[in-house]
Amino acid sequence: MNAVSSWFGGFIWTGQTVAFFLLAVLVVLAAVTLLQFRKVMHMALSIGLVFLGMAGMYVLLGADFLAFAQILIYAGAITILMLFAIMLTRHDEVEEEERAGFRQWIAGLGAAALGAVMLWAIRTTAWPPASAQPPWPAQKSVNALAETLFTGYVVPFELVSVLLTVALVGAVILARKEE
Amino acid sequence: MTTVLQGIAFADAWRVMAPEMVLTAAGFLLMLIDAALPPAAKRAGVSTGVALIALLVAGVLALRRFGQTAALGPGSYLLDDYALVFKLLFMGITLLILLLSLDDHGRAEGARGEYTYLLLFATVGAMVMASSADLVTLFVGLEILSVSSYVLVGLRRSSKSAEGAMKYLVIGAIASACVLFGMSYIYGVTGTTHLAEAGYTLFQAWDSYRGIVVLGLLLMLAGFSVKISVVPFHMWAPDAYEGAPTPITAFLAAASKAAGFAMLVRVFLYAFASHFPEWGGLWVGLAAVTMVAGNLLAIVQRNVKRMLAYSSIGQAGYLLVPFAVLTGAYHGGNLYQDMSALYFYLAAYALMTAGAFAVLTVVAKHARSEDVDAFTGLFRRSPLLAGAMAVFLVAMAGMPLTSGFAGKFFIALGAINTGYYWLAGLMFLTSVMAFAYYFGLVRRMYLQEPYGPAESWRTPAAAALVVVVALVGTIGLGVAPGVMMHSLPGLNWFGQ
Repeated sequence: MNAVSSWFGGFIWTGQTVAFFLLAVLVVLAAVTLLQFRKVMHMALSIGLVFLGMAGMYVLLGADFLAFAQILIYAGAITILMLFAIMLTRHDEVEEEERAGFRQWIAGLGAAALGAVMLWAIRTTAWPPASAQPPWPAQKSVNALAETLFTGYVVPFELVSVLLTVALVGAVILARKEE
Repeated sequence: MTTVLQGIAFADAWRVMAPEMVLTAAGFLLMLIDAALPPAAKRAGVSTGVALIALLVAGVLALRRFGQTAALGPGSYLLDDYALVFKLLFMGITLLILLLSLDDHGRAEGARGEYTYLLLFATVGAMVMASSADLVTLFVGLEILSVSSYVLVGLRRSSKSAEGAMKYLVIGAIASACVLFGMSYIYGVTGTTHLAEAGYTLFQAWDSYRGIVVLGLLLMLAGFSVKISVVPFHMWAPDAYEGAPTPITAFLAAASKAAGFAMLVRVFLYAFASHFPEWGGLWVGLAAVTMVAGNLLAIVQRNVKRMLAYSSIGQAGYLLVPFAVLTGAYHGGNLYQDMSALYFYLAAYALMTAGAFAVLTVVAKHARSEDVDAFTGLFRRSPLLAGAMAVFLVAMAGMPLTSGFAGKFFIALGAINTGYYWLAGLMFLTSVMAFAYYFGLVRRMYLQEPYGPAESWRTPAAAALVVVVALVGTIGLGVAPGVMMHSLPGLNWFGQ
């Protein structure tokens, strides 16, 4: 009991923590239902919800620009694109129900163990107290991002274009192969 | 606060990453050519020609940079001999693979151009992995290689190919997620994505953030282990290898694996070297399990591609030994010796693998089967192929006078030098196991009569060239390993 309360020791209810827990529950629920749904259409919608919840998290962390980018690109473009892809192909496909066999139990056990280890690692670490100030003023986050992207990270930034080309061309090749 | 924006001049970028630039440009050029040329011209191998020229140019550019060191973007992209030797290896392998796939029209018809430039982009990804000293750059390189490989595996029109590509994609994506998640922990603790700086910070942060750092390290280790197909993260390899077009299988087994090792050594050496003794035992265990499991599972395979896949898993175990040993006793002289042993065996292994898969390509095309039965009586059909295959197989097993023996000898020597006698012993034992299944195939080729009419099989010129190059390399490195082994430790490996 003592150990558990110390795990959540120093916890103060503020507007931010309430918002965090609401968003966390939303994201986790959406992610779990994504795996539970049998229709691809429903899966696409719940992954949209995950993206929106993550955008909320970014706002809480003071990364406003990232949050907007997340909504524009992930919740907007990617989810809609997935919906389009599903609508244009066989969207009435229903996944077979899988029986909870031995493998599923082992996998579940493994996942639970990994979660426990991570929780343990995070909780037993003595983290430095969080500074009240974010590393850069809120309105400057776009500047900071741009500066990092185009100075220190210009090499990976350029290389990502190769990656995107490969992914795009690859998708086309694999789709055309079926014809 | 004023910040000084640092621009990167083209001259600097050219100095550090000229080979990558040439290959990327060639890749994009091929995309344009592919769209513009009529289908008849594509068959003539224009794309392969352009790619071969680009590879040769890039190779010359890389050779001219030996001994120099430079960095691009504050230390995120390095030019040093470590990166250069690996780049040369990747380009050499890609060159052989391109030659080999010249005659493989039937397998990937209609996708010649795509096939070639995806291979070039994959090589660029591998080169980025060898050169980057920044977690973000490293991950982008890893993904370029991985995504191109997923597509290349799925190029054949068969359900096996689709199955292999799907398995590779799903497991590879999980591995990438693991790597990224682990990297995020390391970034969280150190506040930098730059490997050397992270290593410096981790040296001090190890004690106070041990749980988080170890967790990040383990996640990255698991992700990397998938990429180099180390047991127990090897499940994708046999299916992906079997489904892929045979030249691509050779690329996965040789170049992809070498790139994984280049990345792994760079990351763990730069970021975690200060605490090697505390977690290095993990590598020793992984190496031992991989050697034993890979060689054991290879014995029961009927499909030659799957057999070579399991054997390549076993080889990954041998390749891990120099690094595992290094974690036990880490100091300067040791480092160069072990890096040389690792590189020597990687190069030897790449040559044997390319050769073996070249023979397999020819045999599979004539026999329309990749089963071991296709090799029965090969000596009567094509003495050159049978002889070459026998050399590659005994080299993989570690027969003296072949590069396989020399490579294993240097690796075992490193293990004995640092006191890992049992690891060297285990290498010997698993080599004996490997002889069992390799000799089974050799016996089939020489001592049994072929099934069906005993017509002789013609070897296409390009495949024959690959076989001869691999043969010369395998025997040459076996007879005179000193040529390479004497020059390697003297390289300016990490630019100290």
